[in-house]
Amino acid sequence: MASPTLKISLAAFLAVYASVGLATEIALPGHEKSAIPFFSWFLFTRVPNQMHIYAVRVLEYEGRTLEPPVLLQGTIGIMANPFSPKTHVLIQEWGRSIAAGATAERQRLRKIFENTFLRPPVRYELILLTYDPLERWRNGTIRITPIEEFAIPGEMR
Amino acid sequence: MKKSNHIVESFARNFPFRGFSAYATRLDPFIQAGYLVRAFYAFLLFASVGIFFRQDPALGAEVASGPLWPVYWAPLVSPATAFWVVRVVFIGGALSAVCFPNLRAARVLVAIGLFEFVALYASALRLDIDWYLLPVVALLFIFLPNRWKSIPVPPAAGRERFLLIFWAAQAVTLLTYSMAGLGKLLGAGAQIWAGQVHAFAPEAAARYVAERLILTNQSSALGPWIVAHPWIAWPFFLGSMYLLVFSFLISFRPSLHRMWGIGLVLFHVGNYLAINIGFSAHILLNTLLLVYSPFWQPAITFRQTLRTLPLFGRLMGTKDGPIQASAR
Repeated sequence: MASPTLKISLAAFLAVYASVGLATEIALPGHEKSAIPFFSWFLFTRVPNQMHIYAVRVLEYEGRTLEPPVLLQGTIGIMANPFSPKTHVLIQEWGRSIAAGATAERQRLRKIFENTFLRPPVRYELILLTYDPLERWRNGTIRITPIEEFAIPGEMR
Repeated sequence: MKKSNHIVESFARNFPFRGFSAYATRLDPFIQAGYLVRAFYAFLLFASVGIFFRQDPALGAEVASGPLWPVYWAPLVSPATAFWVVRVVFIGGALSAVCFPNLRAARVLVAIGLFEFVALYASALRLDIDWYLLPVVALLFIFLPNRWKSIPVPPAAGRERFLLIFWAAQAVTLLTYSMAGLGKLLGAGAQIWAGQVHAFAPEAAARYVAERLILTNQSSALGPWIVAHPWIAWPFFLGSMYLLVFSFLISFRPSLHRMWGIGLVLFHVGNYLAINIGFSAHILLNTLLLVYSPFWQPAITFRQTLRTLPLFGRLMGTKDGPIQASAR
């Protein structure tokens, strides 16, 4: 029979994995995935009801006004990798920092966003989308609240 | 003192399930587990050269915007250097583990290479969270006996150690599902308290699918149909909650390994068809560790199977619990 020590060690390993993983939900709010390889596995824990999602829409690019303004996912050629999930996560953090009044953090996140994902010259705005998923799916109902407008000057190509 | 000794002895005898030691008295569970470990390393070799094999110019900036702790060094070097260092270590480790899976040093090397690979691409969200489990399994496999061989087979004690480590990989895989189930239960409780639509409501699946497809600006094979027919999707959604919540219990019920593994694979296939989330790493682990479980018992009656399912045994008026493991 295998030694009790090995069995106890394995049981302890499972307990530690569960405990540390679950602790990331409390200790690392908003950054639960950063404690790799530990994770709570709390995914899709809340049914989407009324959604409040920060987004970016481009107003002007290379001197051309976009009418209507184009949301993030439609900006192929304007943004580097507009479908990157990293972009979405970054924008949510940025929006929350603005709502919280965290000036240093909002400037840091804005800089990361612009340096990583935008190609100047571009004028864009951060917006808040409010919608019920089923209503938006069925009839496109959505409320857009502009938050702040930004511009990155640059030479036109 | 006597009571504590008795507890330890009882734990040693019955952990992880009654009759576990019987599997070590036979050769085929050990040989089967050995092949499954080899298959795991074969997949890692495939991943090391087959996934994200082209250097993406956008990767460096995306990693630098928020590197996970194992790749904090990556922004300090050029993106090309970071890419190739991670790639070469992963390939070297995977190749050595494929050629020499019985050597602990090879298993350590591939675990390190895999860990850095996952951390690098997860930093840029190119790899989904399901890849977090692969380094955990690779870490566990490090503790397989060193220099184990199939010819000649090791003695029963060595085979039992091997099977215990294999079981631990099964258990941690199933544990992640129960943790996910716990999160859903807690979320449902909070939303019921807040008077919101919750996970037990008929339109829950439709809301999840609609929001996901809107957010990603995509369509899917089953998504629009689920949104249009929430009442048909509802029982499947409740069934998936049951599957998640009780998964960890199944690690102690070998007669259910295969069926539960297939159920979890179908859960992920359903998610892919509905919201384009594949969780392919978990599909691989469920298949290798559970569907092909070396502890799965031969066919039992349908009634016996129902009796071993969590909760169902109680509904049938009998005490649900594992069927005693026995040599096949």
